[in-house]
Amino acid sequence: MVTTRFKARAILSKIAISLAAVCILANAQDTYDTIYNDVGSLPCVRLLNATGSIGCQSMDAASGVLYRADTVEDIKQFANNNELGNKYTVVIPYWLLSSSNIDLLKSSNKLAAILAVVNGTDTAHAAASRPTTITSPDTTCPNCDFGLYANTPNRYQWNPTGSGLLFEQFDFPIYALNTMDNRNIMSYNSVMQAANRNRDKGYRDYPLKSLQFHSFMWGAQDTGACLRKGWCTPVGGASVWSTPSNNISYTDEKPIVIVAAAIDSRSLFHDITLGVESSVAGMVTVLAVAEALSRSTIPLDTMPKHIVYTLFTGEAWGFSGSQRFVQDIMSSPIQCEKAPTSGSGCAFPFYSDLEFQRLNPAKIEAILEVGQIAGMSVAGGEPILYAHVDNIQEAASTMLLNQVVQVGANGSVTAPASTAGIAVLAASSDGVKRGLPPSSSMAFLKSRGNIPTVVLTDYQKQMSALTNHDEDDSWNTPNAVNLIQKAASVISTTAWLQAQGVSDAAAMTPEQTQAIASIQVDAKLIQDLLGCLSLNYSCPLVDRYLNVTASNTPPTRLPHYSGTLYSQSQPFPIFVWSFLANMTSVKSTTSPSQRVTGCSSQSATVQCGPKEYCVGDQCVVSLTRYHDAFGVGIGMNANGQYYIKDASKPVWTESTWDPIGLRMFDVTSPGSQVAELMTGIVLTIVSSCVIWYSRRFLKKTLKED
Amino acid sequence: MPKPIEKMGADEILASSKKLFFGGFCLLPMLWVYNIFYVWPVRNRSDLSPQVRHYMLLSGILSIVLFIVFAAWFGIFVNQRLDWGTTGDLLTVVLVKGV
Repeated sequence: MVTTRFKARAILSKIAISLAAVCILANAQDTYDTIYNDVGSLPCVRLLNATGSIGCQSMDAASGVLYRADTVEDIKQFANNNELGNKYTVVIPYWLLSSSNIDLLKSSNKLAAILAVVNGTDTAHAAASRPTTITSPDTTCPNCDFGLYANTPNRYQWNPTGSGLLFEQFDFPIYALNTMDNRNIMSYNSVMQAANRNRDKGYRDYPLKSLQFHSFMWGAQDTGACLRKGWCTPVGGASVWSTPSNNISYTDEKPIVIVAAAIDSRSLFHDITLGVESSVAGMVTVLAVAEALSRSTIPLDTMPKHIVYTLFTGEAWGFSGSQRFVQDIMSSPIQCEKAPTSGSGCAFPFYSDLEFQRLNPAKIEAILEVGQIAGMSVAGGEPILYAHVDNIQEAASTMLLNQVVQVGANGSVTAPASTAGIAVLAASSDGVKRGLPPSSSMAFLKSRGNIPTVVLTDYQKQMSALTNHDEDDSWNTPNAVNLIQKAASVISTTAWLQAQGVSDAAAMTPEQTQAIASIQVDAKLIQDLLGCLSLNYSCPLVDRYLNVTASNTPPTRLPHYSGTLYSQSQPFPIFVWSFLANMTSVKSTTSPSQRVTGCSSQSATVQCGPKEYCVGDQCVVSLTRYHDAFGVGIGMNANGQYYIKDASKPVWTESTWDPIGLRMFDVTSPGSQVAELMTGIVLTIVSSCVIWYSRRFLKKTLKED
Repeated sequence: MPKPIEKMGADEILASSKKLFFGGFCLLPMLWVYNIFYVWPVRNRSDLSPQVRHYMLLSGILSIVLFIVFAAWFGIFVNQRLDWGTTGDLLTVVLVKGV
């Protein structure tokens, strides 16, 4: 009896083992590949501030049958179609992504997720189909709560068409599709192919193609709560400042002229943030100014005033970069309690660099800033540059404003002929004093309101509708180059005159006349910079500095979202740093001799001096520094943890997340899914019964033996 | 093999019930619940000391009171812990992501 039972057990265990072996042998990856098709993902993610969260979050893995809606009518039809008996991933053109349409989709109770096509090859998604009236997804006054007029009642609304979409909260995934590179073109094509097949089947003839989304964000509530739990990281990165005055010191009593712009931008989908209008053109302008001024026959570091270039990161997030820079230079000298174990800076309070203490904020005598300047808001008509000044302490800026306007009018001095048609007007030339548009200068003016400040933009009353828009990807290059060239020419000349302390061109010495003629803005450089910093980072200009093409996958279009602090590479600040380091060290009395070359290509033989940097294969001496940029409301304690120091100031953070992605698979009809489940349950019950009865039977039979 | 309660003498039942009742005060409230279920089958035995019924009753009352207290605390905790900030986080063993 015992032997028979053993035999029966042995046979059973053998069957079990062979079944398990079959399961293991069937490659898990192969099975995955036959079921799923991973699609490149451009997600909308969750961000948090002092009072709440914005962006997208889905607690579980949402999945829905692909459904194509090309027009508002399609969306309405989807919402009202009671024959659709499933959850759906609705593919819509980006321009239909508005609060009202999203509410309509949600009200159907059939919405699993939204795929917004920013740019696609299908006629419904092509650039040609874009509506003529575009609304900015930002608020009606971007970042104004943190600006100079935060507490001013009835402050001017610079972005009146702003829909505020960026600040809404969505409890389902929203992803973008954009045909910007091969990988994304493949994703777009496979999604559209599947959506079209579903449509051809009338969304009824199962199996249909379905998409599953993973978009689980850890951070919740607000920045305070998520920082405490460690589920979010401050939004930010590195600002860059640079000066040709290598010997600048806090106590040298020389006034400072600041030339400023922003590096970063924002949009709903961070991976495709471009911001040519919002920030790239301004950044290019400042770089072109630095290049033009480096040609001055009078060395810049011998001038009566210092010129300091500042390019701020985190500006799209409550002017985080400029406010932190101003806060830091205002608090020098820094009392460093704990020195770093290696390198420069201070371990606590944390500063990655302390050279900014050489800038004396009380000595800042002029600020020239470049805002939106790519001319993308100008539909037809003559492009004009507008010079904005603060309207509270207006008198302080009057002289600087007049100088900018005058330099703009006397185009013949330095401005190239191609920009002759571009006028430079005071923004208040229509008699309305609107004050400064949202700008980095506000941070300086908040600390001291009487600094002469001019912000140059391509708009007078209203920011571009493409402000922080995801579809700001079609600019007119010749127009943009002309505007940037004009702006760079005006800013460089004004900065030069300011630095020389010359108010009237007539009073200049022959040497000065010769020097001012030497600062010419290079249109080719502007065109190259615009191309490199928008769509092709692996261009020869960037490559000369950073050798990017040596990489296996040379980067092309990189996102202009600042990213999170210390956790991502900062391609644009890195390039800006290299470029400015090169430009500010060109004609300097401290490095008159020929530069040593070969420091990066033959690093074994060529070593740079102790205070030199290897920039573009040359050893240069330059005072160019990174500056940490993140919301000034956030502090870092001695253990390196972030906390909210002042909730009234910007405290933007980005949530941490589980691996994000979307994958496509075939889904059977809800009816057959129920049938499958039922079959499974019945099979389980039947097999249980069979086992129970056979065991009883075996027991009986074996006992009888 | 411990003796089933039906075969115990009245004094043994009293001793067990007493132990369970006082044991509950050592932060072991489930002993009170157990006490009721344990003595329940013999609750009507004529030879049982009236003290046993006292212990049962008191155990029952304490169980119910504690149940109400715990349930109320649970409700308050679940709904309010996010608003309590740092204190809420300290009281939570497993922090729930995403909420």
